[in-house]
Amino acid sequence: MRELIKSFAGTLAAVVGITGLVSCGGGSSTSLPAAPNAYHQIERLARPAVKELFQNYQAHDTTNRATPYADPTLPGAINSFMTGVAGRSPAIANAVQGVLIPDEIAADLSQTATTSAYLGVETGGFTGNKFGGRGLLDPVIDISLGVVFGGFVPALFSTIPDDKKESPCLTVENVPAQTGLPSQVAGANSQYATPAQIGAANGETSTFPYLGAPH
Amino acid sequence: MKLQRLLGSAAAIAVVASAALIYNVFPAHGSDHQDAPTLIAHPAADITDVFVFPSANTANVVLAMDTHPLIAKGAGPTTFFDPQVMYQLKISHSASGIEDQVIQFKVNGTDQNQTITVYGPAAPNQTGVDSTYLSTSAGSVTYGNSATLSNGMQVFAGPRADPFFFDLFQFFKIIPDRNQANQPNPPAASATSFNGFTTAFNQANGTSCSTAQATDALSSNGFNVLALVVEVPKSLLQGASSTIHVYATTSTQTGT
Repeated sequence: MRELIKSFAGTLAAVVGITGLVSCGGGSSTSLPAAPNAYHQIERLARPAVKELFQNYQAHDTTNRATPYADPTLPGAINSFMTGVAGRSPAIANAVQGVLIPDEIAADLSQTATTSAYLGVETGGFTGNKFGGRGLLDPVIDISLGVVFGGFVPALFSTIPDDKKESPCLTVENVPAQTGLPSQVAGANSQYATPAQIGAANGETSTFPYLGAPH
Repeated sequence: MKLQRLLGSAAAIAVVASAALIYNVFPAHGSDHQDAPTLIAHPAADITDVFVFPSANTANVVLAMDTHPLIAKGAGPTTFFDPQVMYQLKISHSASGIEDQVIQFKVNGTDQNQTITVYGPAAPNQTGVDSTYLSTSAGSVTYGNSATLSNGMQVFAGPRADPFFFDLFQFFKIIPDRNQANQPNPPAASATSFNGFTTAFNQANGTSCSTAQATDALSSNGFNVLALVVEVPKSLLQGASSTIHVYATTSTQTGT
């Protein structure tokens, strides 16, 4: 499985060359002074669970009121969580920050993939394909956990050494059991065996509007 | 407000009371559910998830934003968008992330007869954290229904089953700070492992990870959201790069 990951390392290095280590301090956007009838941003979201995982609860409001490209606190929170709570090396922490800032969902519309693959653009297709985006059944939490607590980053980035500080019990959450990711646990004890079973439980469809009727 | 609207029906009151109870008993911010006090006080402005995925029609791409976390089972059709909230999907065509286009949803009305007027995709009047509605709309959709707009975009606005899945309550045991009910003084962690691991896994890795069943908090409890879904012709999203970068926002005129 690890070899599978390694095969994408070259692509990843190219991606990192473009998007890696984006500095994102307190710079201002190109916005004009607010019009008298302006609406003021109170909430912002793109990638799932980024605020929840990396940022202390009390800091969420600041991020919610900032743009993804001029967020005063999120880049630092990612770095400090990675080196502090997750106990990872500075090199891995920097790589994660570089990929996740600015916090937006990337999708390559020129790709012919018929499904999404969360973080697929950022990882050169490692998570499934280069369309990227995020679908209803993408295992977004398990991908995130593999990046933060698992071996995804050193396996993908040939220039970043494995810090040997993976946390196996935090590397996958096992909902559902089978995700196709390297971190999944064979025979996991899960309420749902597959993503499709979750889709069925939520009444999701392959036609518009895709999300299931309310419970 | 919600209770007053429903005073005529004891059954409806029971549903709403149940919703309020569950909202408090399940203080959950999974993907982004209930992630700040401003939003707990204003659930209609609380974005839970953002999606970007291919359509079976290869000429189109699907964008969606879910709002209003933890609508109880049965209460979806009696929960509505907030006309004081501007809902937006913002799209950048460069790695800068600065929005080149926006899709805006303007809500009219407060009950099951509400309509949602849709603007864009088009360049915003201004970028950044302050926004105004575009001058020309592509059409509108009624609550709970789908419509095809004048620019060829399909839109849905209304209650849907919450698609997010996560063993949220185990996560809160691992990082109690992330549970809004634990603020401002979160307790120490009471778990160091997610659930669902096997004895074979533990033996192979020399670990003692939890073997209790991993469960999804949202589908198990029948939670719903208010969804804004658009299926957009890719031709409307042309930019300097074929890669789009998407985020969603909610905004109010008061900033609260």
